[in-house]
Amino acid sequence: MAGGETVEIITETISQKDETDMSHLKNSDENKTTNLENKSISEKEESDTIPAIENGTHEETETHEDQEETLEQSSSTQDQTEPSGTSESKSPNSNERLMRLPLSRIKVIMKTDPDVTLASQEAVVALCKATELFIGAISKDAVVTTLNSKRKTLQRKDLDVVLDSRDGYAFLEGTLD
Amino acid sequence: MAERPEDLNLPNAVVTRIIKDAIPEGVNISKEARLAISKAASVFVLYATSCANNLALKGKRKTISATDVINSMEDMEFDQFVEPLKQVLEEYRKEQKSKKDAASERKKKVKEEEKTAADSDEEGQGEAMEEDAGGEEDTPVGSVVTISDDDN
Repeated sequence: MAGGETVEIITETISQKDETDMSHLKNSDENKTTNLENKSISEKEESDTIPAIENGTHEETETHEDQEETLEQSSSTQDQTEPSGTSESKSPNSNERLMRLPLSRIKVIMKTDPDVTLASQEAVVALCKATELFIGAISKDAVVTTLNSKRKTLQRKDLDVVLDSRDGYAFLEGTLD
Repeated sequence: MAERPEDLNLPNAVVTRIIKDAIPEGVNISKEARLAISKAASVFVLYATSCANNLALKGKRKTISATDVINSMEDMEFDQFVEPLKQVLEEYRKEQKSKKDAASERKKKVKEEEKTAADSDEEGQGEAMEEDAGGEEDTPVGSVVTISDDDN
């Protein structure tokens, strides 16, 4: 039956947990009881949302939910235990969310320009992304100076060097004091 | 408009994360430098807005378009941003389109369910009810179109 699968998957879920919480793996009996608890809880949740589903499909959807939970848990434990692997986990993140800066804030700044009458939503999106690229670019340029002077902290004076070195940053002169 | 001056700053946490993503691991950033970069980013937004607005005015348009923003990057000597921005815009349009499709799909479904429910409830008074349902169906479709006009 599908019930066997459910138990197996939930056990996996718990073994994923074991990095943070060892108490669940003391013996198999305890596992089973926690399984049952999990099951009854998720069944309650499901009966709230999808009351019309029959038993067979019910258990299938339940396993899907558990798998999703497992994924979530594993990703969260990865974040906690392996900060070194962040560069890998960040790239899919940035794909999911195109923009990280708030569009509303960008809009507010744009509106302070008295010459601007209107801006399309796409223009705000483009400018939002451009600002992100700008922050990345200026940081990358400044960190070169930091590393050249064999320091491990990016300092204000590294930025000043960058502002003088590239024409593109000339517009910032006098605004950062 | 009376906005507080801090409204012109970008959120610190987000800015810090973008900086951290850009610099190699193990390099820290001083608070001063972080604030300076955040301020520079705000100035960048203003400067780019002004450049893009000039392009729009030159084209005798009142609304700044995404193309204006992307073209203004060349004026600002940030040519390297043009390609990634075009890609992001493409992705954004796809995302919006799929969202819109999903929304209209959902609306259709709801309408159909309502219609079948109404049909089964009021089997006796057939024709008048069906006409009503048809009229209801037309209005939301029209409203979807006007919303999309606003977006563009």
